[in-house]
Amino acid sequence: MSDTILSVKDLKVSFDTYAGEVQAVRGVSFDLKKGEVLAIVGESGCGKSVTAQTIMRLTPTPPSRIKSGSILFDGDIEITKLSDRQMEHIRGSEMGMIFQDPMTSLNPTMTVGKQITEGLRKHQRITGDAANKRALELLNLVGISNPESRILQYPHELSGGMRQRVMIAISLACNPKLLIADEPTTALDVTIQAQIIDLMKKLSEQTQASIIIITHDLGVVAEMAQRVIVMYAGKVVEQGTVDEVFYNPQHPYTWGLLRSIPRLDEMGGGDLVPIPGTPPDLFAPPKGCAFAARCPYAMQVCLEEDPDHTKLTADHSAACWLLHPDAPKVERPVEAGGRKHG
Amino acid sequence: MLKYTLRRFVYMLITLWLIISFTFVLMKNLPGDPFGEMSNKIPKDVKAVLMREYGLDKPLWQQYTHYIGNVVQGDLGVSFQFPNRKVTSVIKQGFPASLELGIFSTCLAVLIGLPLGIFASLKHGKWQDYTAMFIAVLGVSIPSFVLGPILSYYVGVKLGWLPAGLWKGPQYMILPGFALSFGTLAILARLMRTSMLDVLNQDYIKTARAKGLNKLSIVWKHTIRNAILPVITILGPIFVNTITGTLVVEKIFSVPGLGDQFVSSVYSNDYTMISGLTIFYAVVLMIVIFFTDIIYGLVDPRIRLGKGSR
Repeated sequence: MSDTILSVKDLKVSFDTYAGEVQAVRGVSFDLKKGEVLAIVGESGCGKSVTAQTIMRLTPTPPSRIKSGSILFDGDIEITKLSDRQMEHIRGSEMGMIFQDPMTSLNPTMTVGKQITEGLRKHQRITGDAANKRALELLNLVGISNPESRILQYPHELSGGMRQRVMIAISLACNPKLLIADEPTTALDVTIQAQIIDLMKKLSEQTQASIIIITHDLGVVAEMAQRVIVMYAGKVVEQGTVDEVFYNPQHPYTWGLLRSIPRLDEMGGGDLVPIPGTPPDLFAPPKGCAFAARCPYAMQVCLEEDPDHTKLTADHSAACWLLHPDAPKVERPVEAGGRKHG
Repeated sequence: MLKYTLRRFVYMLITLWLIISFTFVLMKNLPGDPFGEMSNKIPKDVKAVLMREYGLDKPLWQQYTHYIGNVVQGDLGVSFQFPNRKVTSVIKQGFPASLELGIFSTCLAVLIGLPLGIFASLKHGKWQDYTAMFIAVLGVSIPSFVLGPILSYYVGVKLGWLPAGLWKGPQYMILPGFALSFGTLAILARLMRTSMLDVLNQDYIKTARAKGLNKLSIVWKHTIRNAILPVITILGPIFVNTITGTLVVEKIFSVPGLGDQFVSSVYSNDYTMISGLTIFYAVVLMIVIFFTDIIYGLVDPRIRLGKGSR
C-alpha cells in the first residue's frame, strides 16, 4: 500500500446540535493514490465538504465529532487520533486546502505576501527573506504577474480569480503531499473557472501532489480528475474512474446527476431532467437506501435495507439493490457518457 | 494624505460654523433671559444698561456677526453668570480635570473591557463566557450615580483605601475613574465579544487554521485586528463624552471639571457659556473623530485614506 497517500475507512462524522445529532457523514471509505486527482461530487449537504474538512480536522469540535472510522495519511499517520498540536504540524505543511470563496477566504487586513509566508515561516522555520523569495516563486507559479508588487498588496486590491490564485499559492507553500480543493471554482466567473481549473491541472502535474477536488460541477470532474466518488446523504453511492462513472454509471442517483447537466451537443433534443424531491433529513436518516424516496426504481428492499457496495471492476463500485443478481433489469435512462469526455 | 487632511480640515470648519450658527439661533429662542426670573423687577433703565453692556440690544444679525468675529479670534465671550470670567478661562480651569479623568477612565475601560470581551469570545458558551457577560450586563445596567456613591462610601470612607472625593493627585482619579469607566467597559466588552465571534466564523480564520497556525497566532494576528474595527468606531465619541466632563461622577466625587459648568450654564440661560462650551465640545469631538478615522485606516487597509492623492 505504499502508493496510497490517504486511506479513509468507514468514516462517520456527526454534529451535535440542540435539536439532536446530525449524521453528516455516515460511513465513507476511499483510498487516494500518490499523484492522483480524486473528485468528490454530490449535491449540497451530502457531506462532501464535511468529509474533506474532517481529513484536515478543520470542522470545529464541538459541535462536530468523529464517531468512528479511520483516516490514514502518508502510510501510518492516524489523523483521527492526533492531538491538536500534532495536527497543526500536518496542516499547511503536509496538507493544504483551497476554499470555495476567495473573496472571504483571505484576511482583509494582511498583505498577500504575509499570508503566503506565514505558513512557511511556521513549518519550515526559514528567514523572512527566504520566505519572501519563496512567496514570489509561488506567485509566479500560480500565474500572477508582477509578484514583487502584488506581495505588498491587500486582498481587496485583487480580483476574485487573482485571490483564488493566491489561495492556491498559500496551500502549496510548503509543498504538501495532499491538496484538498473545496469547490474551488464555484464562486468564480465561468471564464475564470476555466483558468483556475487549467492552473490546478498544470500544478497537479508539476507538483505531484495528490488532490481531492470537491465539486458539484461534473465538467470540472471530467476536466481534472482520474477517479470520482459520488456522495449522497453522507454516503458514497458510487465510485470509479471518471470513464467508468461517466460512461457506465450504475447508481440511479448518478444517472440523475448526469441527466441534469446541460449538453451543448444536443441542441433542443435533451431537456434537463431534475431529480425530484429533496435529500433526506440527516437528523433521522432513513433505514434503507437514502435515495429510495427519490428513486424511480425503488423496490421494497430499498426502503428496508441499505445496499452494500457491489464491486464491478477494480475501481468501480456502486451501492444499489439493482445490482443484485435477483433484481429486475432496468433500462439506463442516460446515454453513455452523460457528457463528452475530455 | 496631506490633501485628505486639508480637505477634512475645511469640512471641519464648515461643520463648526454650522454648529455655531445653529446653537446661536437655538439659544436666542430659549425661553427667559440671562438676568434671571427676577428680571421683571429690575428697573427698566438698569435693564437697558445691562442689555447694552452685553450687546443684547443690537439687532440679532449684528449680535451674530459680532459673536462669530470674536469666536474666530478665539474669544468665546464673557460669562453671564460670573460676569468677570471669560468662557475660555472657565474651560481652561475645568477642562484639565475632566480630561485627566476622561483619559484615565477610557484607558481603564479599554484595558479591561477588550480583554474581557476577547476572553469571553474564546470561551464562547462556557461558564467563563457567561461570567464575563454577567459582569458586562451589570456594567450596562448599574448607572454611575449608583456605583459612584457606593465606591465613594465603601472604598473611600469605610475602608479608607482611596480618597472618597476631591481632586488633589493621581490617587484621587481611581474611584471616579472606575465609576465612570464601568459602563463603557461593559459596552466595549460586549461589542468586542460579538465582533470576535463574528470574525472567528469568517472563512479566513479557517484558512489560517488550514495553514496550521496555532491558536494564539490565529487569535492575535488574524482575529483581533479585524474584530477591533467596530470598537474603534464607538470609542471616539465615548472618549469625547468622558473627557468633556460628566456631570454625575464629577459631582459625586467633587471633581472640579466641566460637567458642572455645562449644566449650570443651561439653568441660568448663560448664552455665551452654553455656546462656548458647545463649540468647545464640537471641536474636541471633530478632532477625536479625525484621529479615529486615521487609526481606522491604519488598522483596515480597505479604507486607507487619501489613497488616490498619494
